[in-house]
Amino acid sequence: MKQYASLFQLGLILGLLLLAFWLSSDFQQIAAGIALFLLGMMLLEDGLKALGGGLLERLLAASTGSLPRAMGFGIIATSVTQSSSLVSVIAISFLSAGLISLAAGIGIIFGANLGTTTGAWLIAGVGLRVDIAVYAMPMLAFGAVLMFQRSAALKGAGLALLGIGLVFLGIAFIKDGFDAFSARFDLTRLALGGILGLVIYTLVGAAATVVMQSSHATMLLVITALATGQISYENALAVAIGANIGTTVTALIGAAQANYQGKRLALGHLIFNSVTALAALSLIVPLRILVDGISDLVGIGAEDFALRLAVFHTLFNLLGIALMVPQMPRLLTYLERRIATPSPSVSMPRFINADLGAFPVTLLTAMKNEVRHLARNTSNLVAEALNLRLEDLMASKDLRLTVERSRDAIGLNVEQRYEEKIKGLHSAIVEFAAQKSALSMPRTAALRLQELRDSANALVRAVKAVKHLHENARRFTEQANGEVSLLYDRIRQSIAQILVEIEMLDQTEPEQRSALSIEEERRALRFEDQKVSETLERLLQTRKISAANATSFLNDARYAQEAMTALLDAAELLYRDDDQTLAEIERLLTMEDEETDQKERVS
Amino acid sequence: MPFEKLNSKLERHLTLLAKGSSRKIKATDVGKIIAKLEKRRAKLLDEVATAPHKTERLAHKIDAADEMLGRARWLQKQLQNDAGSEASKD
Repeated sequence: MKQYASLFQLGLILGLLLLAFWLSSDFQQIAAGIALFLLGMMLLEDGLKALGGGLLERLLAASTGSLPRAMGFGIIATSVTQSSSLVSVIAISFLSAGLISLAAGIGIIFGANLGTTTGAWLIAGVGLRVDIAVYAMPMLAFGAVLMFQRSAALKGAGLALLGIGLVFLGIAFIKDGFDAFSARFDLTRLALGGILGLVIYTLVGAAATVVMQSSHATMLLVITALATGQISYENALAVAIGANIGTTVTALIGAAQANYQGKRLALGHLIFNSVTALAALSLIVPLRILVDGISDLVGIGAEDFALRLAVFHTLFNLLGIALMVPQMPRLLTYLERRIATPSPSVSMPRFINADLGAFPVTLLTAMKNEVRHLARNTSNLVAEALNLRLEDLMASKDLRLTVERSRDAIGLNVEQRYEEKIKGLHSAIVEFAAQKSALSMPRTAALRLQELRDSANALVRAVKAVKHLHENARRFTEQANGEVSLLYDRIRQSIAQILVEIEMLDQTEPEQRSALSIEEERRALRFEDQKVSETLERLLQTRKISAANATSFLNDARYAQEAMTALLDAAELLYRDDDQTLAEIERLLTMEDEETDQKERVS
Repeated sequence: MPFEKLNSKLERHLTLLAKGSSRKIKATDVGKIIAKLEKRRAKLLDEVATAPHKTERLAHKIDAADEMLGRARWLQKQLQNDAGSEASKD
């Protein structure tokens, strides 16, 4: 049904376009201008993303500590990129990864709404006054040359130049189209006064924005139409209000697939823009008087309706912010209540989701948190498979004693637990890594993503090794069975020690933590393994253990060794430094297996 | 040559850096890692004093920490030498 509705919508738009083209050839030029403008905006957005090399994300991470800073980021980022949708997508991505709060996300959206009004100023103040098509030509030529360069920065600069060139060309096309159109038609005959005009033109503005998926394009059209006398000033004001409402529809459609945080942000955006629109519509008369007063004060001509519309656009968005900022705590409470936080699931992914977009910072943060989630599930499973409880081990002052005393059956079904809490989560992590590794991202970020996936794989290897060990470990520890039980206790102690060390590493502040400390555990593990082998040898010689039990134990000791190595491999990859430069040093310093073997031979 | 494997990893890193596909590492960055490792080593020494039953195990850990510190200091020195020779070329 949904599919037919979108097909019908597409058919309707194409049909209307054909009809308009048939009625007026000038309209073709206007439509082509809009197409060039939208294409230019897309290229500009892609170019700025590549040119910035994550600059916008880094700025965002540093500037959302308070509401004014978050709003400031929204205003500046949108003014510079001229793309509120890019800023909104980054905000949703950061919010989904838990890197910013909902309050900061809403602050960014408020700021982006105000920042987007600079577009109207640029169009009315520059776009319509200067022959910008002249500037577009060299930009297109330089942009095309640069976009085929290998360097990401040059490529980004080329795309951005090409985008600006197309935007300029689009504006020139629309301007010329309206000039020619004005000679034959007078659309002001369709002007509607009073409340009816206000309502109808607000709906027109909203519909145009939904269809074009860009409030900038609507503002461009209405400002150009206003400058060529094809729309009355009153109706143009209503279209500008409608464009604000139309933007939220686009955001709501995008949020339909989003997680709860993305949905909250989209609802907050809708509420903010609806309140702003309602306030602007109800206060249209005093607002218009205020616009005239400000315009006269700054020297905007009485007939310069295009610039006056830009003043109005900024003013009513400011009014919205003035109304909504004091209501922020209530808005946040409402959003959190309306869209509740889903209860955390131990078996489903909690951090990786579709809203993270393509920003390395958010992708890596979410991926790391998800692998930590898997690591916690793995630690619990490994401990319980050996009749131990992770919380007891963490609270223990003497691990040897705690392990020796833990003899009660836990009754864990390892296979079932693996299916419930490991397998699905691991699959989601692997799938996420595969999808995101197809994105173009810096080498260090791609390498980090791969390391985190490898960490998850190592965790699963540990679980599989423990599965083999589980049955005998349970059998020989639930009942005291002489020397064999003591040997199994040694294995349990070694694994317990590693689980505790990893848990402590996880709890250490990232600034204090170094994945290189895992090497210490490897060294201690080799020493313990050697000691266990010596003990086993001695027990066999003195016939204190049967050959059958010794063989079983040797097999299990090998599985235990596999599990511990896999746990340490996973931790080493998981707890790499978050600073990519320090992580690179850690990779250099990490000892390779052959180095360790060489050292052992020497010693 | 000491740390032969580390040296070849460093060379590989420098090749990638020349191609623009790796991050530049400075001796001061390695200093941050050394500071962390030293703090960690001090913590292990404290633990020896408080947990005598773990002395043997901890001795192996301290041994590994020392080796890691040695590798880090070697790397820092190499980067300092490289920076020095680059500055003298200029």
